[in-house]
Amino acid sequence: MKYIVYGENRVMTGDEIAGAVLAYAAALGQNGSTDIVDVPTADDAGFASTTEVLLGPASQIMVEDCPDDELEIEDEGLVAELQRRAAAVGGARFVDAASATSKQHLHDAPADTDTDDPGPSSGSH
Amino acid sequence: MPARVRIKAAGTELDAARLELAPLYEGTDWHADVTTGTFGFRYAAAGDTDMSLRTSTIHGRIEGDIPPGDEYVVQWITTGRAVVDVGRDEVQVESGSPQLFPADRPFRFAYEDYDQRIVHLSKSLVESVAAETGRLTSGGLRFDHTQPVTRQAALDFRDAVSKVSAAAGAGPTPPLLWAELKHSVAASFLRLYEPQNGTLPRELLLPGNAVLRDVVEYLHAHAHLPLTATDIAQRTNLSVRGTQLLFQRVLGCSPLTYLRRIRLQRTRDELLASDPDVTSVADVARAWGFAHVGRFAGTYADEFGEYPSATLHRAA
Repeated sequence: MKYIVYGENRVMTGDEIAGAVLAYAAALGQNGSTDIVDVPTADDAGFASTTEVLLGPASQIMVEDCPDDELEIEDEGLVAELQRRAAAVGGARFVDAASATSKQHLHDAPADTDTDDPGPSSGSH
Repeated sequence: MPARVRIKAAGTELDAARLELAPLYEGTDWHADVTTGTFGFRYAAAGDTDMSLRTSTIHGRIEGDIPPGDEYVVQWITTGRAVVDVGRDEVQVESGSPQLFPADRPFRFAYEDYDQRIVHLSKSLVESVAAETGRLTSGGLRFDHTQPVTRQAALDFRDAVSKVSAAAGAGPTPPLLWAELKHSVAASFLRLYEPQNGTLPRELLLPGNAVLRDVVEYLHAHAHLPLTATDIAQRTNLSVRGTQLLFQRVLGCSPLTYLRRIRLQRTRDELLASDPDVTSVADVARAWGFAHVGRFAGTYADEFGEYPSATLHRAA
């Protein structure tokens, strides 16, 4: 699980969703446009809820680890849609970078920080 | 499948009435007597073990004891005199007014020169319908046979019953229609006699709160679905704000908070009823709209004083 840190607030969500939101935010930032995304999360009582997050060039967001829970918040449809939108504004490379990170985390691969692979299609900046 | 029920009995002898009718209620100490003119009885039942409609006519007098069984029995008379629960919480049955037999303890009855309509509903049918509308708690249902019934509820109940008679009179009833008719009679029974320990707040029983009661029953019946404040308001024909004020005034919380309480209670009911070998707390929590087991467990423990895993394993 991940927190999307937004200003002084944290939105807890699943790994895949957090990665897709971050990638989309990066794509929007590069592109100079803005969008609003409904991020599925859990409220303090544990009930499923959604938080609307404004993404754009001015939004500084960060994704950090959050202790895993038996229920991983997942929404394949949302992840696919965010990836599609990111690609549409020319940010496909961010999607690849973010999904590489989240996959590494999901498969619990030993993190080799010395030779951190920045991702197959990035680095052509 | 509930077994079919079909009974016909008739006669003119006192002993025959006693010997044929008492076993239908596992009755003891039954006596039949002559009043004026010739004694005669007629009894008929049709339906299944979930619900059967019966008629009973006796020219004469009959009294006896009936032990608690696995059915709720509601009856009304169209002519004659009848006393239910003789010697304890006696009720003089008024003509046309449905009266429940005490369901959880033995009682004595005394009837004279009467024409009677009787509805037998299995406790399991009534419980399943009660569960749908949030009236069933883990303690089961309890009814007070002395509770006065409202005129409207009595009319509704008799109306639901007469629909069954009409359908039965029109030939063999298709299974789906029969199931729907049973459901409708059980639901109107629950409006006739309010369970004593139901989970509906008592305030809702006040006549002025009918709109709120309707929407609260709707919430109980649809708690497993994603409902928004707008969905709930549509049910009341009020604005979202108006609905919130209504809930706040009577129940002291918002509609969505109330819905969450229902869901939390339903997770508990489901955990209690589940087998820990095949069910996990996470499955049950997810089914009732939770997205985080850790936080859910904290909320649950605050409400019920134990963790959900303890509840689940207690059920085993």
